[in-house]
Amino acid sequence: MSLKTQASSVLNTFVVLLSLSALVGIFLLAGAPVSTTAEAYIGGVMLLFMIVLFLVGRALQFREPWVNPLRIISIFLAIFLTARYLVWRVEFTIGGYGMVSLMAGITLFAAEIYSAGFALLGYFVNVNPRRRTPAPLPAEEAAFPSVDIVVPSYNEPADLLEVTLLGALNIEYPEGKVRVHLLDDGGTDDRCNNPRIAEPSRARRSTLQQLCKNLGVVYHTRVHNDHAKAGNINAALADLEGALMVILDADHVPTKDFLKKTVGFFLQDEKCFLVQTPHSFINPDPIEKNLGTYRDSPPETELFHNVIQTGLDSWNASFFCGSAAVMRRSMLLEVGGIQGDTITEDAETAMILHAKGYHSVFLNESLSIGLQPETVMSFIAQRVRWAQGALQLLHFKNPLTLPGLKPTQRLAYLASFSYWFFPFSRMITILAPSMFLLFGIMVYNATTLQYAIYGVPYFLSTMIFSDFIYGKIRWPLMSDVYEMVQTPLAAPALASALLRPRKLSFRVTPKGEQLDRDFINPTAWIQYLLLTIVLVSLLAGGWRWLSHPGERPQLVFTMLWETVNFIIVAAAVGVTLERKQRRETFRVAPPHPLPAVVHSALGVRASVRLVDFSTGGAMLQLSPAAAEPLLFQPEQEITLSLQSTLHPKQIVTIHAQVVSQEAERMGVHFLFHSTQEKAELVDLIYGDSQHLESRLESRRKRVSFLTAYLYLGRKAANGLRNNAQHALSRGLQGVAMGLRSLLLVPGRQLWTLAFADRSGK
Amino acid sequence: MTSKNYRNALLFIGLWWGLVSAPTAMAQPPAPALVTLPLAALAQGKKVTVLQQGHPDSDLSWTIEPHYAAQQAKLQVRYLTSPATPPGSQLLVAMDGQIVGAVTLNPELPRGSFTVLLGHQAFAAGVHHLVLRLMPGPVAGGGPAAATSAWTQIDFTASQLSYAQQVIPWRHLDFSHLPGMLQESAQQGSLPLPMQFYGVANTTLLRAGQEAVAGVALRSPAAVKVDAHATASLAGAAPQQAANGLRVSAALGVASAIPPSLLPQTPITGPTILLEHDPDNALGVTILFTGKTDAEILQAAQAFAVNRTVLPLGDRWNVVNEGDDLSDASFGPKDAVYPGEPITLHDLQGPAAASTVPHSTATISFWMPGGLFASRQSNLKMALTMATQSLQTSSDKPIITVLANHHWISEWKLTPGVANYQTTIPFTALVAGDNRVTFHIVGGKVSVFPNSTIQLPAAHRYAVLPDLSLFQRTGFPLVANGTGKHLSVWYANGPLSDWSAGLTLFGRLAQASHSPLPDARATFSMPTTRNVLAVGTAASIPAQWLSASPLVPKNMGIQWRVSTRHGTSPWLGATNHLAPAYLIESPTPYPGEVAVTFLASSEAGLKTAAWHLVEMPNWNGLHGDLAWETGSGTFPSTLVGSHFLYGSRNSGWFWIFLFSVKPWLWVLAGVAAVLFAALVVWIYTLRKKAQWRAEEAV
Repeated sequence: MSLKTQASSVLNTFVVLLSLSALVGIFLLAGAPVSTTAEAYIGGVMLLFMIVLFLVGRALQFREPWVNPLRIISIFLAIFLTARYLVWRVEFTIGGYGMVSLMAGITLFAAEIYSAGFALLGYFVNVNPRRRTPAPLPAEEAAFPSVDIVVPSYNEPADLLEVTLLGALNIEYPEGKVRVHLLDDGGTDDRCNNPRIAEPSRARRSTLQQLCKNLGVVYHTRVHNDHAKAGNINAALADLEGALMVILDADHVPTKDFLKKTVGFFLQDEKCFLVQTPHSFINPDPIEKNLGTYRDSPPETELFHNVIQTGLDSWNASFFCGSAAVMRRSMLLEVGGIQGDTITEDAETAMILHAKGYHSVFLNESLSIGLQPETVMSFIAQRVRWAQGALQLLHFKNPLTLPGLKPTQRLAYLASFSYWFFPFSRMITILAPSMFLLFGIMVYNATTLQYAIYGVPYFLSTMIFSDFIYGKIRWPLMSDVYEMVQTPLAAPALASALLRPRKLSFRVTPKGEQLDRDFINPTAWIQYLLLTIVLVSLLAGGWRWLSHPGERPQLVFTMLWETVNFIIVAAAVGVTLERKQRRETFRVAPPHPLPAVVHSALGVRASVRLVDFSTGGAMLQLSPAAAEPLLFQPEQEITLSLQSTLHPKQIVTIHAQVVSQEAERMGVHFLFHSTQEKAELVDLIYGDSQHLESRLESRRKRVSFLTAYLYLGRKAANGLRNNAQHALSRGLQGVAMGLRSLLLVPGRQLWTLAFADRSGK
Repeated sequence: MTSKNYRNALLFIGLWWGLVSAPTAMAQPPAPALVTLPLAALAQGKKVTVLQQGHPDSDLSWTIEPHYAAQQAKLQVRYLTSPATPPGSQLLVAMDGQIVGAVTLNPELPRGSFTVLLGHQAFAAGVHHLVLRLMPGPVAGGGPAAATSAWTQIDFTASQLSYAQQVIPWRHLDFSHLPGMLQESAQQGSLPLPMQFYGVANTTLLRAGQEAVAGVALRSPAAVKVDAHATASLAGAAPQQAANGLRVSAALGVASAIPPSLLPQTPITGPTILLEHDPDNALGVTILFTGKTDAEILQAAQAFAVNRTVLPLGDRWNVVNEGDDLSDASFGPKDAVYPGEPITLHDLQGPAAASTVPHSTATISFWMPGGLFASRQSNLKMALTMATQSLQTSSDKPIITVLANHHWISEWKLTPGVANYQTTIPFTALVAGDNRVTFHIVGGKVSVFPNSTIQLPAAHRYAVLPDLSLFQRTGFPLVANGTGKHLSVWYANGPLSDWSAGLTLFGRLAQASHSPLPDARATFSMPTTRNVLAVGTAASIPAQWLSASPLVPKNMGIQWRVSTRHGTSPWLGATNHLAPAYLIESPTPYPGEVAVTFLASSEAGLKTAAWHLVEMPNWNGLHGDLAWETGSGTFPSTLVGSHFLYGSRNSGWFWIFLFSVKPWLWVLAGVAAVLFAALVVWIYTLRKKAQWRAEEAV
């Protein structure tokens, strides 16, 4: 090691030790028992300081490098206020009103410790996010590494797979350097030989084999279905020849420049084992759909995929998310392939490779588009799987003790996995105010003034910091609603994972489900129950205000807390009404309507603009001249000619059928006459990463706290109203039937979700 | 005899008569004071009474205090008689069982008044029974029904008892009468206390004098004004006395130096306190502190000061327990609460706590020492045993509202019957000195049991000084420990000077600190340790003593500046006008202690100025660090110097206190820590980013 490197290392060590000392100093200072007046001063000043930093950052549009010191100062201000709050909580606010109060207070405090601890880990993760740009590729294409693109599949329909495979085939990369593979676990020998499912399995195998043949994709299957997706990939590993391997979920369609932007990192760093890109989605998740927030607010997944992963990347701890990633095959083989000890094989694999000293990269550019689960149940099932997998990892391969990881990586993984304890914390914070409002159990022994001095700065500091870091992509209370939707079912499932970590098995998240009518989710009764409890608690609080005047100092902030809980739970109730889905495929709108020409078999020709389109159909905007009279009739077959994005300067013609024409708008349904037509359309929809980014950017915006609360309040009210209207529209009989399904089904669902052995069958 | 001789003889006789009679004349009892009492005062506030058949009598009790006699007692009665009163009916007045007067009631003149002399004799101290009786006249032709409708109403508020109140000399002197004696001697909030020292003037005797003054001061709410003399005879002095002629005086000296007229028959064998008739004032008493040595006198005086509740019978108190360890618990003021020590209401309020009569309001008063700093959100804990009585008309539980020093603290419900309750009062709602916790009950009544306890939280001795308001309420910082262990009283004018001012201020200090301060020292030389109460003149107190003071006498005036310990700040101003007296609180020239200096422009004015200072309006109005006497005897005060923190700097609590009293300093410290941490981490992130750039450039 050279002298310069040694000196740099010593200096780094010194800086780290100094940082830790400063952190300890801040904690000690925060715990100093100065007078309440002094605490009020410092809380107010620090909060004001954070607000000023936020406003300055906003004025600078949160751009590097100026925002860095502001972010770091905000972090330490938030740490100080958090530590100060926790010390005060322990010292003054727990117990003092009997054993029941003590137990309830400790339980609530445990939930707050979790939240605060998670917040502190979050500060650590986000202190120095790494924003990468794509590494350049060599000038000579001969130097490009060979790549295998694998698409594991289990039960996805063929037409969905076709789109993904076409997208993969459209990727711009030297021919001969890339091969696409379909790994079919739905047509394994076991399944084809199983009398109960042999026929559909064989039919599937046959269909997919034909599809692969048509597309020029290599078809793989295997004998058994061991270890689900991990086993599926590992079985194919030996047959692959490329240096790199791209893993795409069956619904994740890559953009054209996927490889051009990712491969360069492997050439830049020989120890790089993974390049992960964000997961983006073409459709709303069930919460966005049912609450009606898809068009108004940023996507929920962007927090992790766009912010947290960049923070993890700074600590070399960004991990594999199962899809939209490139891996170095040799390093994968070194550890025996994709790991299968837990049901979140992706994070497990990344952690093992990190422990071996290899590096990961997170490139914060959306280079693929996937599908969100369609129903609340499938959404929850997906999240519960992630949560259970995280708990399994904490049990079997705890990052704090796994050999080989650096201390910073351990903390980063701990931050990622500990998030999934949220259901327990959420349930406690929802029910805690009710303990006091309904039963008079003092769970939080503090007056409004004391809470204002200690609690409000802590609470606001976390909100301000959140807004600072990701205010554009996650609004206040949104996280709470998502957690609330999952909590009633996730909590028992996680309890099961804690009790029996070895008994879990992988469950495929259903995609491409269709909803042909509105209905209330069978597990809605839990949310109704919680909403009733919260509502009754609010009413009890009003009674308590009048009949127990001595409790008014505590009632003020308890009622505020319960009001926020009400909004959250009401929104969760609104989510339980599943809205019907009118289309099979999801439309995207280009930045500007695309010019095209429509020809009919009768020789009618019209200039149009594509307003939105999907692989199923499109909406065309006719010119006023073409709109009157109606030139095109429903079911009339037409061709649509437009400029190819796959082959620039060429015109592509796609066959379609008119669905409807109203004034200047005409809906068409595509009738592909060749694979090439579909490939062109796939490229038009999915191929351009800049279009994808601009669509995502259009949803990212900041709003104030008040605006966010009012927005969610409005959505919650609408959700409750829609629930009520749905119930009324069904009539009494419908309500009775609904109640039956609500009360009888959920127990079974709950058990299945939590305890049944699910082997993917 | 020639005319010249005759003139000389007359002159001689006149002089002789003057000499002989002068003390007697000076000791003549003052003229009796005229006292008028409404009968309502004798009837427990009752405003009227109705006399009729079945209830013909109204019994009133008239109490004459010991040491008094009532002469020329007259009773004026206003009455209203009913129309049905039979002619010949009479209203009789009887005193102590003897009829002293009567008036005939005329139903045609129903409203009337009469005055009756209750007796030509003087009424002695004690309880006298006054009876008003209705004697109905014969009923002509009527039956019992007619008689029952007759009544006579006595208006107690308009009727009155008047008499000339005469003070009489105490016949039997007893230490149990001492509080009463002191109360009678006090006039308009001041208690004159002549004090005579016999023997060689020394600090031990002076300390004994301090304790004697403290003992008197703690037995009276009035400001004690000491007039001390160290001469051999009292005759040369001009004795102070109350307007009613009563006087309590003190005398200290070894038995061998005491005039024989003051000594008892039995010899003095040890520390002794005697209660005697004042030889110069028939109505006065003298408390004599004596012993075989000065140490025994001091011991006697300390016993007198400390033991204020259990007193010996009679007029002689032989202090028998030698070398008593005057621990804090033994001397402590009964109504004081100290940090960390639970105290019952019985110990706090004495016999008054034993009352079990329920009331709709209950009060707990206590005194808290000064200079206490408690951690944030510290609370006074109260464990109360209360008996609650609901209003019969209401089924709701009574609600109790707790106030501390007029600030609302909490409100909660009571359980009917006897129950235990625990409640707290924020330490920030309490003040140094007198505190008052009040319980208001709505919907019922409570009685608080005497076994209820209150307990202050643990606290540390820190304060922002100078603060004369804290000094006047609690004696802090001169008195931090109740025994006065760290206090010296410096009589700067020396052993042969007038000690009145120092003793007067010491008495006030004892009252403020609720303690006799038995370990306080007295000194004639400038102290070099301890907190100091310095009393002297501009000539006797050297300038170096006030080196850390904002104000220093200079030539015939004063000059002032920003106060620093080393006195290096420039003087901001000066004036040639010297007020009669100054009271200054400032750091001592030596580190770590505080001095309160009473400085007069001349020795002659020292005593008078001290007397003015201890008067209620002046004393209670003290604040800041400087008070000065005006020509009219008032003491305005203000802050001239700057504040400093008092307390041990060798503890982390000093920093907690510092940040607590200077919140902006705390803000600065916190923000500095945050910025430092952020800077260090920012440097780390810059290095990291440079490293990344290097990696990406490869």
